[in-house]
Amino acid sequence: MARYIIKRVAYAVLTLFVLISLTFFMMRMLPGDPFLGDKTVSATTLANMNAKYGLDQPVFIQYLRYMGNCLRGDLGMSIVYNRDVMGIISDSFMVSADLGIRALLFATIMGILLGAVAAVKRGSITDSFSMFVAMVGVSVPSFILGALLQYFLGLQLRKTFHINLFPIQGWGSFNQTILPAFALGLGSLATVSRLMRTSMLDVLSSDYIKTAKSKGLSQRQIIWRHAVRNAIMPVVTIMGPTVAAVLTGTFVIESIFNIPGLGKYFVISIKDLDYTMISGTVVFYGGLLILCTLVVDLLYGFIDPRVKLEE
Amino acid sequence: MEKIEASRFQWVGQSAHDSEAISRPSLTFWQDAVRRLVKNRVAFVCLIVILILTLFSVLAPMFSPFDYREQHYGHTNAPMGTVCNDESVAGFGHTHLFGTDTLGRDIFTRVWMGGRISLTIAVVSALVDLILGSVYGGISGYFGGTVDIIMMRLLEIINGIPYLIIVILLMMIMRPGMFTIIVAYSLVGWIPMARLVRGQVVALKQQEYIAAAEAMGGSPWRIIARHLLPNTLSVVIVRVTLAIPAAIFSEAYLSYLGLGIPLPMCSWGSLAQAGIENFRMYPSQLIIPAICISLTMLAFNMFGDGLRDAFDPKLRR
Amino acid sequence: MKRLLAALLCIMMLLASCAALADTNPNVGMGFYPGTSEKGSISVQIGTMSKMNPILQTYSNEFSIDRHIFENLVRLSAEDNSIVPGAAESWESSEDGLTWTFHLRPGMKWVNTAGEVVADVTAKDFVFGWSELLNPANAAEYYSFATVFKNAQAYYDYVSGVEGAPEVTLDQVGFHAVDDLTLVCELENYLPYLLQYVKFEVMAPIYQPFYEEVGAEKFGTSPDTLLYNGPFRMTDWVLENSVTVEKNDQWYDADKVDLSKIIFVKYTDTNAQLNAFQGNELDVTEVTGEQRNMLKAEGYEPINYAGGYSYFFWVNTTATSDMRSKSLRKAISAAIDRQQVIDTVHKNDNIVSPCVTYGISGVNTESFSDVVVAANGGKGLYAASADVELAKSYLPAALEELGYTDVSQINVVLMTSEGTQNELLSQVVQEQVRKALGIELGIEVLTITESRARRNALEFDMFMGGWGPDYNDPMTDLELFTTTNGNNHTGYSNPEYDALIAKCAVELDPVAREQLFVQAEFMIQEDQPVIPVYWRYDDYVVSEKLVSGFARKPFQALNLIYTKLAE
Repeated sequence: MARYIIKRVAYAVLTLFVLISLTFFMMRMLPGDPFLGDKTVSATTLANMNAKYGLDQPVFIQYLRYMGNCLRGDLGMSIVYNRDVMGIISDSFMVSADLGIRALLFATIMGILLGAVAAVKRGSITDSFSMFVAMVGVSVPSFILGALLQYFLGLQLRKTFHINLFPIQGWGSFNQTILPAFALGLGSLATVSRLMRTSMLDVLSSDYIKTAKSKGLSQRQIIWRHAVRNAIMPVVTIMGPTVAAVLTGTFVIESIFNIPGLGKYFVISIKDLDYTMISGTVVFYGGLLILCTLVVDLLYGFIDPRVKLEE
Repeated sequence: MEKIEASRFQWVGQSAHDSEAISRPSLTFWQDAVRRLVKNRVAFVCLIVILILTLFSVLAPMFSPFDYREQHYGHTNAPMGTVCNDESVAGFGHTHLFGTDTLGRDIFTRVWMGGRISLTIAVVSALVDLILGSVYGGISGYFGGTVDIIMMRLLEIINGIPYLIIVILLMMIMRPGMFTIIVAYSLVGWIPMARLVRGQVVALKQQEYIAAAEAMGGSPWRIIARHLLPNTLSVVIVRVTLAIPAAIFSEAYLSYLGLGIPLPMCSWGSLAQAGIENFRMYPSQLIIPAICISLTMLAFNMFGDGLRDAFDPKLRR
Repeated sequence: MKRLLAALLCIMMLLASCAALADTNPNVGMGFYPGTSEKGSISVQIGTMSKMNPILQTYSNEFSIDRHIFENLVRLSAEDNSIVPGAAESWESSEDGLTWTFHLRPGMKWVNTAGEVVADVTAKDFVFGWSELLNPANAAEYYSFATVFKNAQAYYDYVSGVEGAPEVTLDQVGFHAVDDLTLVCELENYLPYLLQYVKFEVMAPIYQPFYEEVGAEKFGTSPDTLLYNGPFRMTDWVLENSVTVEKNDQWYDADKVDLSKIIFVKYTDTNAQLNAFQGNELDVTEVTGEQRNMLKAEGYEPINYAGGYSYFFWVNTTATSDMRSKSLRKAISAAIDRQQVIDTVHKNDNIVSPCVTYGISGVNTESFSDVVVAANGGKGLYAASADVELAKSYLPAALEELGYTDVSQINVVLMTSEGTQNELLSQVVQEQVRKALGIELGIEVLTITESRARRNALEFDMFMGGWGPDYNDPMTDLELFTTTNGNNHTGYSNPEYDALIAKCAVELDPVAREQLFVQAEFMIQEDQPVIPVYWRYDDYVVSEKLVSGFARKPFQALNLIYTKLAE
């Protein structure tokens, strides 16, 4: 058990190391340099700028230094924002995490419910409906969904029906979180509910459910105490990828709804060639994802007695 | 008790053979799968939808009187069903079925041109996934031991790397274009496929017929190619079917970020992205490509589900 | 020399008199879009703002916020863009124009984010601010604004460790605080528009004890690491999202400030902008051409303004590109239907460029471009619509210059920086050229960073770029095309042109000088190192909450200080 955990953690650290190195050298291959303004600057100024951010050293020295700083938890100064990268990330991540958790809760709880109900009432209208919802989630890109939600539920509901329920943009109040969390979570909801339905169907046709039935347990007891509990297992396995999907989706949703989250920095910093910010976000985000996958894998081992962690 | 006349019975002969006869025609795995697929109405409809979308993407731009890049400044942003009034172009007098865009280009032609691009990107990257994944997974699974351990550890590390970051970086380093997009997708997309194939191969390797093949002196490559891969095919086909919509989605997402294919080419993603800027004024410019994306996503996903059911012996009835 | 000064002052006064007044809202009382509900506060859409340390800023959005929270020696009037007193109450220059003395307004205060008075504003704060601008450790991109002062460039080079730079100390640099309220500046060269320089946002004062207390690294990274001496003080800043400023009661003209709070919000999505405006979550926002026409159709009038930007294609005239052929450049220029570009891509009031120079006053006319148009017989130098016959007539010469036998051999790529409008524009031009000349232009969409890198390295054929004037003289645009100019991204080098511009610099008679500039414009038209396309106009809307007093114009992308609100 302990050996397994240590092994997994070692791989996670190795992955992170590869990721950081890969990003570090890849971003140096991006064309241009971070100090390209609309007007050209003199060579002296450029040299001063490079010196200020340590870019005057050979790339390999910069790499070693960066790695060293990373180990000490120092992600450096952002070139574009002229402030501490760690500070920017921690401020904006709080918002992204808040949004992400809401979306994730919505997606998993609703997904499991929808999937379970659909399986129990297989072939009924309820089944068709829940699968329709799931299909919408699978088939509409989030940038289209977000824009439509904002226009119809944000603006038109207010203008036409005078219902001021969903703010159009911004972050802070509970109402401001509803549309973004919904738009962000729907895709994952679809995945979860489809998986849940399949797994539930599997479970419902298994022998122990038949046994439970023949023992005379009520339908409700069978479904909730026996079937759902076991059918959730596969859903847990995809939680890692689901977290990743929700986090990557944040960029689109944040820019549509003007939410001060972390997502935009991935794209902005790459486009601005803000080297420290690019690697900072990658280290942070990559680390987070790797951690999530690790936790989910370990968790799965604890939940499902059939999985032996020693493997 | 009533007496039964012996003459009422008759000796029909003895045939152990007949009693064991299979009364229904024997079906191979594939025949059975096809039969069940055709019976699955939803999957069948999806297959037809896919075929129609593909057919239109291939044929419509060829037969359309308009060129996908031809701009008619006379009537930009025309609504659906407008008749072309520009005498200087070949399409004069023909109808813009889906209207025109900001530059007065025929949306009908563009949508199918975009379909070509989107579907090509999706199918090609799915195929690249398939080939890379099968080879890698096949080798790793078949040889096992140290080779397997090294290859799988490598995979695990690559798999941990967040996909989107690498794709964005790659797309910015390489020249924009269809090739770049396909490379970027395939670079990470083959990993699940490799895992899947490896898992299958490991399971199959323990089967007796493989041992038999080995005993008869079959080379490893022959065994992988002739025995192992064909038997993992069903699982792999399902996976490929589901990888296609994922690629279409990613393409749309990257188009939204401005990392799409070069102008004036278009894909469904870039059409939707352009449409979204104008959807308040001209909703059809968004709705049409959006429907194409959604329909393709739906069709491939549900067809993939159907295939999975068809290949699953447990669901055989 | 004095005559030139007189002439230039005359130009500046002319500019002052002819510029439009501050904007007023034509829609007040319509009942369409009443705006945000909070009293005394407005929400304003803005673009990227990444730094609030005034000496490090480069974006016009950042300058727009600066204008509201810092007070330089002088500022531009919201009414007419003229120079009005700011922190300096009055000023005078010496006979030779090389020494300027500024008298500061007594009683000005530095306040912190909470509005508490920290210290008095003195001449020392300007000296310190400017010396930090020149401090190479800060690596300020716009330090060159301070190099107008005597010895400043030499000091910068010396401290930067440039090889062979003679030793210069800070005391030798030409700005000194004589006492708390008197600032004396010595100039390196004769510069009649010094005031245009000191009004520039990076030339802000900094209170030294506070700066040293928070440290150079932390300074300006949050509302509480800055002190304010302007009409507002920053109270909240969410990076890449919003900046909130509230009224500074200590400001000398605070009685006339109607607004109690401005929230600047960054939007990245134009649909979201319009949705927020129509949903009364936003009071001031820019609108796209399509959106403008939609609002107009509703009966709501957007306001239009000129940012002073001239847009043209930079053309690579060096041997690496097929655009080295002058005839090809002329052919493409004649093949572009400029009005069609505006109508299709922008759908707004952009004007077809009659010449390169824009937004600059003439000696005896409202605009310098009027003189150019008059000299060309009443027509602009660049036609509004395409002239296919003319364009085609250049082709044989172009092929000969390039040594090609067929147009299909011509290989020209339009380098395009990403963005819907840029991409549309490239596609329109691509199609126009294809139709007129049968030349298949390529389009390459790059990020802004990469396109700038390629532009600076002259690795492109054609690239759409804009140029805004730094000061009110045709020189600001026309000196771009001299051989040694650092911003000449064309590789164009014409000794005759260089000589002409050199002559302009020394010509004292304003009318004769203007004629030289007209000659330069004709020379550009003849050689076409750039292909001018349009002068840009932008549209924005304000909610009915704002009545008057706000301004958007050249040199002032946003000025809301004296905005009057509806009751």
